[in-house]
Amino acid sequence: MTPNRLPLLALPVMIGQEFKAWWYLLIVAGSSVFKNGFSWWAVLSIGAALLFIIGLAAVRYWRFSYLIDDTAVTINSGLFVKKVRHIPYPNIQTLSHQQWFFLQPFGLETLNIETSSKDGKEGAGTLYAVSTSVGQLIEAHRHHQPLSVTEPSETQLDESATPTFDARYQISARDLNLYAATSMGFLAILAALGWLWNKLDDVIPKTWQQNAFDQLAHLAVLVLVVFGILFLAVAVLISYLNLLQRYYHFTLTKQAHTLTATRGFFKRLEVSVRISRIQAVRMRQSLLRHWLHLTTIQALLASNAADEEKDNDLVLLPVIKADQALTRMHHFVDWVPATTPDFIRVPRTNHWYYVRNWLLWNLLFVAIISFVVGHFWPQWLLWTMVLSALWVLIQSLQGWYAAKNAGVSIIYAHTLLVQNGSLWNLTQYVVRRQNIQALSLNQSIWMTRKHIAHLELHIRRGDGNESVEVRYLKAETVEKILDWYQQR
Amino acid sequence: MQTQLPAQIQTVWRLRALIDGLLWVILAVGFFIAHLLWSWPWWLIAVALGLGLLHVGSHLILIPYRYAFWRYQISPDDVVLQSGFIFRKTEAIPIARIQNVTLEQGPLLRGQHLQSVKVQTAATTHEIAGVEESVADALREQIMQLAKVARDDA
Repeated sequence: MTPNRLPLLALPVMIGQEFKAWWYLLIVAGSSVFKNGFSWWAVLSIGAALLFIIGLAAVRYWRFSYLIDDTAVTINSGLFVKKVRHIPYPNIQTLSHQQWFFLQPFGLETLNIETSSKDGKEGAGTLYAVSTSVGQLIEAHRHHQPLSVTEPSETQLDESATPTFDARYQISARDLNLYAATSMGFLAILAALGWLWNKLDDVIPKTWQQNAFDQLAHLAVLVLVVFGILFLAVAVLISYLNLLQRYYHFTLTKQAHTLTATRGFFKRLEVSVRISRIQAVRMRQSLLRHWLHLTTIQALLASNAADEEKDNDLVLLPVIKADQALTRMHHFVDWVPATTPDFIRVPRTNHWYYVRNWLLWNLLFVAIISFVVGHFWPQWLLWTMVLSALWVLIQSLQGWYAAKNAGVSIIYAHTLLVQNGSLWNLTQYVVRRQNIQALSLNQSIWMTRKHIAHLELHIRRGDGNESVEVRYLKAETVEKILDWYQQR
Repeated sequence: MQTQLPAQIQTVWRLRALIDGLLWVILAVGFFIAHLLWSWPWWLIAVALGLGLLHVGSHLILIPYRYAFWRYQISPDDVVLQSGFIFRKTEAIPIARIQNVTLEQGPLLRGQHLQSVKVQTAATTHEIAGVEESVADALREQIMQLAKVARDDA
């Protein structure tokens, strides 16, 4: 068979990708115009940067071809170094379909193929703007392929064309609204805005700046505060709208052994993953969402970029009432328990250790800051001390809260439920024994005497390791779990 | 059933502690030169030497205890490692999770005819600090064989 080429519409998508990678070239070229006024050199450099970016995409487009046969997807690429990548169907961990709104009328979509290869990008392949039938073909191959030896628990089933779903969830407008409104994403945007502000400083001519500062100096503190609030409001709004468009019409479906999540307004994204490939299910509540009794459910996968926003984790349910989370998830992933089991919690007498540790670390942190402030700006020392005291108090409360919520529970003989609290999050993991890569019991010499131990388990996540720890449990609890893990 | 590391590993650890000490001495010498050239405060030298002494001293003192506590055990089901003295760790790695076994030998280990055995899972790497060269090969064979059986059985 001769390899296929990408449709011409792939070119703009690839150019967009290159822009994402090289945009700072344009900024560098463009900023000189702002700074030094118009000159032909500046126009030339902008032109050169543009040409470079487009040229790069064009070369990649020209050298790219792919082939889909009975056993694997083969991707050829590279100008000087020719690269041929074979991705056998059983090795595909996740397949994601991305469809920009302008590709929809042509029935085209971008396919992202991910394997669990540790080499990150080498193990993955992207087919830009190919016909949707290509995706269907790959999916079909994927499902009819005999299962690999590493997944012995499954029997081979005929999954031919059953359009009915075993379970389906679609986000309601109210939930989507809640999800976007309770996100802490605005913090990142605030940081980005601050950065931009800083850059503007370099770009805008100094005379304008001087004028602006002269004007600002006349304004009262009140007006500055209003400005600050406005800044914050803009960040919150951007984050809110961004999440709305990203999770627009979020749908999760289960069909035989596969979960599929679909979402997005401008760019429709569809990610499908075999349930047996899910390493663990994670339920996470930020502080804000904890107060509102909401939780977000994600799947940890052994592949990259299942979801570009939440690092490597696939969002299964963006937001759900905490008390319904397990029940709802049980419909999709059957090894998740339907109800909250009884946790073996951290003994009340050990709560103090959490508070003590958080207290000590934060006291150290605060002491260093106070020292620096006292040395350079002694007039601010008092305020720093007051704020520090408040900070340490809040942190100690957090420690106590984390201690109160930490716990572990064995369910169904093969599954472990672990709950722990960190700085601003409360997290639950549901993980099967077969997906725990290693488990350890840690204790200091002093803890040995008091029969206290930490439990630590390692789960594959993306290319690396997610280690989950529950601290200061009773030693016998941890030993019991160690025995369970070793199947004694 | 639980096996202790060979006694030579203590020599390796002692040498490692001394090398760490050497790094502190180099730092102190750097501070001394800076003191001569740019008159940096002299107490930096004292701090470097003091910390170095503390670091190396505590290591050297703890070596016999660490050695006494270190154990490994390889059964048909799993590899269990027990290490540390003040901060103790018992790790269990099921044979079926093991992807790879790597033998490594730096100059210090080679001097004592030891090899370290690294056991890799899909997410983590665990190390048996040092065993005799002949034992290392046997262990690798044993673990890989068990891993193969575990996968075939499962």
